[in-house]
Amino acid sequence: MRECIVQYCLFQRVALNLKISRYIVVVWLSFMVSAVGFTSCGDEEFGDVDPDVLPAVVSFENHIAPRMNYYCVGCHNKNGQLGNAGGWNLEGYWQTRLAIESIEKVSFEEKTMPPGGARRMTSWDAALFRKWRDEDYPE
Amino acid sequence: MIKTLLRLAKACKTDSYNVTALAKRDCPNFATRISYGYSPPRELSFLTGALFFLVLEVITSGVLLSTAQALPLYMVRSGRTCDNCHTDPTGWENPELAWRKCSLSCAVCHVNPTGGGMRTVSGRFYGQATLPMMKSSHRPWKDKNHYLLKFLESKKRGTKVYDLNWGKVKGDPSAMAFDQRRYGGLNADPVVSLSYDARLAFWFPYKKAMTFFPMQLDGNLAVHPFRYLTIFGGVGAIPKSQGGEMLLPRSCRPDEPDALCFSRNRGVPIALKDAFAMVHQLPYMAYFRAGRFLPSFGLMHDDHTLSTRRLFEMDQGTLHSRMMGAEFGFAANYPYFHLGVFRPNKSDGFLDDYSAVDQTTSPDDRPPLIGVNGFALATSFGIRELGWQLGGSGMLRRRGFGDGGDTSSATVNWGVNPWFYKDSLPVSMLGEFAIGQRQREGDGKAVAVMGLMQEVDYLAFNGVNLRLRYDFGDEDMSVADNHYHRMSIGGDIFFLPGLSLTGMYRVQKNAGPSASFVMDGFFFIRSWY
Repeated sequence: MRECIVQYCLFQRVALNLKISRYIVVVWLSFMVSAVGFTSCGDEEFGDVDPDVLPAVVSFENHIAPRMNYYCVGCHNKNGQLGNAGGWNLEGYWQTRLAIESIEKVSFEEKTMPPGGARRMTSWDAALFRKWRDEDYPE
Repeated sequence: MIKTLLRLAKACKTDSYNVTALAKRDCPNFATRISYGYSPPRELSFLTGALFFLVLEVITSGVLLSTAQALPLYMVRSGRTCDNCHTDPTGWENPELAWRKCSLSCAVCHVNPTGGGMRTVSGRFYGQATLPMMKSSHRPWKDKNHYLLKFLESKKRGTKVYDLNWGKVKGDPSAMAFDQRRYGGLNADPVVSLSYDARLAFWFPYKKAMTFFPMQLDGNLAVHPFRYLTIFGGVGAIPKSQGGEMLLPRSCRPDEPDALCFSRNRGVPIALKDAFAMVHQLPYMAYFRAGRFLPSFGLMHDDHTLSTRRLFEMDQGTLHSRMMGAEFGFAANYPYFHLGVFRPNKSDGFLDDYSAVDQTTSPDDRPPLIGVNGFALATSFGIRELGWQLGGSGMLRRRGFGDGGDTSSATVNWGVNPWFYKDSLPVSMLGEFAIGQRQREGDGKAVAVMGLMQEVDYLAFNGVNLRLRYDFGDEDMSVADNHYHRMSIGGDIFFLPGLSLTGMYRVQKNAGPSASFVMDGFFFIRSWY
């Protein structure tokens, strides 16, 4: 082992270690499997929040704009860090209203935005967006 | 000084538990290590063998600017890396428990006793002499070939980095202060210390253009004018989402002059992060501190986006996670305990405005320095053995609904270090399970939240670490299909003291009818002292 080349050393070491550590690996994998087995116990559907606790009027100014600014506009604006990322400028009422279907899709269905490890909107936010859309986009 | 050491020596001889055999078994090259560096005087041999240890370090991760963090990996792995502190365990006897500094706890390597940021002399020495692949000291004898670049292996134990620590504490140092003669010339108990942590991130979203951004820039100052007392302060750039302002070059649009091709975000980018006064270097490695800092809760993993951090408002990248309060703790050899009482901060998440308490919540908001009305309790405890560790923690927050509402959280964390038991098995595993209750935005309903992470690391060569990590998160267990599973694979390369590269590729599976996958990768270039 001392004389072997670097790559061979690595493979030999890995093989040796896996042989030795099979019990440890089994225990660890069992943790992994049990973890994957965790799923939500909830029965509420996504975004299915009691409408009685939602604001009587969900307005762009009070409810939607702060969320857009927090989660989206940092990149999706004409002077953004990424330069109007993806060609989407979501800064303002009409920009948000016209893009609402895409916003809901990537934020609440696909959950791909905001990207990376950034904080994302919750089911509560989804309920607010849904009510705002259903009530014809109050300003 | 000599009187103090002699007093300690007398205490050591009375201890019935002798770990010399343990040391010889697990670190068999220690006897040969003397030839590489400092050899302690005969009359101090038992002391030098009993003092100190391990390792942690701070590096970190996250999205955008975040703060320095300890790496729990080192806490687990360092149970094997005895040579960081033990130069000569021959003739080693254990002092009585109260005077042992032998611990895997954060306080051994960090000025902040719960980890992260400025390092003590033990942490600095580990980062310079043991961690990197180049300029590192000799490894234990069974790891002699554990080098990727053998020709750059250092031939002697020691450090080569300029010391950013000055002064000598007036009078004799405390009996629990680090031994000045042990760390290759580094100042072991300085009056003034400076440190920094900086990271530059390159992010590669799937099928999209790469972008880069400075992710961290923290500076810390510690003043230790008298024995037992340290005053600590840290400032740093804060996340863009919390008011940080970055000015970065970007691609110009056709109708834009070149001079305007910079991005700009809101606010002043620098903020006070941690500030506390601490009485420390007490028996049992006990301390008491008061000020603003991150409570001791769970494992402060290098990835602050993990569900075990973020879903429990312990994302160390935000200012909201730090609280004003007081904390007591100790790390008596293997057991450790921390308990703190705090004035809570507002939630670091987006607070719904339906409660009409706060209509102005926005990304520009920063938490008030002294928090909001209410109280918080945080505790963590457990045992950190050399080959394994098991711990738990709990936290309560009681505050107004408009500030984020009440939370109750608990975690169980564990670590296994097979390397400690098998020289040919440089594998370390750690994990954490967290569960809690919070008030849902809007209706205030108490809902359960859960997070879990598992990680396995393989030290392929000295300074080359491979990592596989899984994490799971469910922000609201009463709602179906809003959880996620995420698998990450990558690793770290520690080139030189204070310089490393971390890369990870992540695949996240979101639950729900569409069951979407999100894939991305990133690199961090890290520099620290």
